[in-house]
Amino acid sequence: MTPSKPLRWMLVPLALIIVACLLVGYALKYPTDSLVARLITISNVNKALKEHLGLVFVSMLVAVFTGIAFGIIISRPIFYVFGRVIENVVNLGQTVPSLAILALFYSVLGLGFNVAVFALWLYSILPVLRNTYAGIKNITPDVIEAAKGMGMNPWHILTRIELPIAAPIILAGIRTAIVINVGAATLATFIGAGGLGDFIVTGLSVRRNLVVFTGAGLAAITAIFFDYLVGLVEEHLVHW
Amino acid sequence: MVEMRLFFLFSYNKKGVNIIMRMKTNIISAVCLALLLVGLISLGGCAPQEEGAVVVGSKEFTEQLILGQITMIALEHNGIPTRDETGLSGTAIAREALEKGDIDLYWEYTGTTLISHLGYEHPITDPVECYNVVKEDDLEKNNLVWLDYTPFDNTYTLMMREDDAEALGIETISDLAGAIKAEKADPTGKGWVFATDHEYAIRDDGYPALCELYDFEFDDVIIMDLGITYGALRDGEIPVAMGFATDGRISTFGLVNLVDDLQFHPVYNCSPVVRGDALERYPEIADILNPIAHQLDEEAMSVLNAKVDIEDFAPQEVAEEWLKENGFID
Repeated sequence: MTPSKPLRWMLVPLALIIVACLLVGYALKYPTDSLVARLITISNVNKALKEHLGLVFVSMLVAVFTGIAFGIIISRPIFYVFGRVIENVVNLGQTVPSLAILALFYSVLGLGFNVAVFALWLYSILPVLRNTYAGIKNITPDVIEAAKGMGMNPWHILTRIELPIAAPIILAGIRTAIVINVGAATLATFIGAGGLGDFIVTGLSVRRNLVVFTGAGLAAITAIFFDYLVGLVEEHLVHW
Repeated sequence: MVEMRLFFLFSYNKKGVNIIMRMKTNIISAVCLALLLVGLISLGGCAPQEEGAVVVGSKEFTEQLILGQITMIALEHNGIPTRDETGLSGTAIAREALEKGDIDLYWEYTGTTLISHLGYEHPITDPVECYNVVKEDDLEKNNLVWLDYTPFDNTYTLMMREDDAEALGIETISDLAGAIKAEKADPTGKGWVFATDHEYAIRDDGYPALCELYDFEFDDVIIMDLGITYGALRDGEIPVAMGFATDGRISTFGLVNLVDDLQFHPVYNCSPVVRGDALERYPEIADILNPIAHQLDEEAMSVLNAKVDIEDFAPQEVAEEWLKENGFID
């Protein structure tokens, strides 16, 4: 490993943060009218960003754990039928538009953060689960046979053979999920959970493009940022 | 037909078929798929477009959808072709569409245009005066014609649950401001949180100016979709919410409008706003819509709103039934 590597890793996130600052700075400095100035303030941007990251972080954390766990369970031969059922249910969940999921669960679970996290979780579990399953299923049976021959028990096979081999594919799933998640979290604003969607929807409803652009731009930057971070982990694991 | 052919092509793709054969079938099936897609897309683009139709727009909430349908049914009944562009999301988009000529008419509220489109800073609380100012100004500046206005005034309102308001002795917005400033406990126990839609949260005649005039602030503001503030309030998720005075859910859900004792909100009587050129093409639009506007009082409008929001009728059904009942169509 060359010493300049960490520097190289920092480059993209730093660039993204600078772009975000420029974007917000521009909107702060040159608001098109008093309404925009009232909307885009440091504290408003902070609040929306915090809410957005909170939604993404919690729902992704749960999605990663449940997705991997379910993926492992359904890749066991005895759960074959069950696995198919789970996969199809999760598939179905993905085909329902995210706004509809929010609307659906709002009427049952009420307002705010928890409902939004639940809907986002439901929305981002599929890529994780699917990739975990595919990653494990695609391991050549010979490798598993060899491990068995060496006297490894199923737990060891899972943790020392299957998961490490499947890791890059699982991480690719997490990357997909996080990008979907950051995008879908902009819809949480409709059920009062805040986030960057506040800017987008308010901006649209009062027709202030700068506000829409700020919200959407920050969301895009957030998505690229996380995608890059998980990508780094992925790259690191492959070279491992 | 095409599907059958596709099925045949795919099912042909078995083991033992040589590679060239397989490539051929793949290419053919890809072409078929592409043709199918092109066909579907061009079908979608073939929506009938009538020459000279009056394009009717509306904003996205219930009352606007009903007014849009009433307009379309009434115009069609009188032999004027219409095209449906109702349900535009938000005042700004509807207004811009009207100014640009993407739509020919939609129902707008006098107070909204006064403050948001014509740039007046102070609300006018007299309906006639407000209407006259808006009518003259909009005609002169934008060649937009305001037809007669409705008796109902769909003003913004702050709502509480009736029981809570009674228990705390709150009848007016000033009472509410007093209660919050005196740090009285709120009925939900989660703090004095205000639920509002995106537009009211930032409009010039909305939340920020309201707080300034009444000189108070909520502990927190939750921004959400317009339609769900009523339900959230009923379910006790929040103590105070904004809504529209004519909404049918206010009485049904046991909510009460707080009196705007400092007269912060302007009047919002509703009137069809028509582009000058559309009115020239069909001058009879005015004669058709004016008597309809006169009939729409506060009670009529809340009943219509309630039929859609609570009894789940479609805006079109409700509009048609009302027009029949009042003898505008047969």
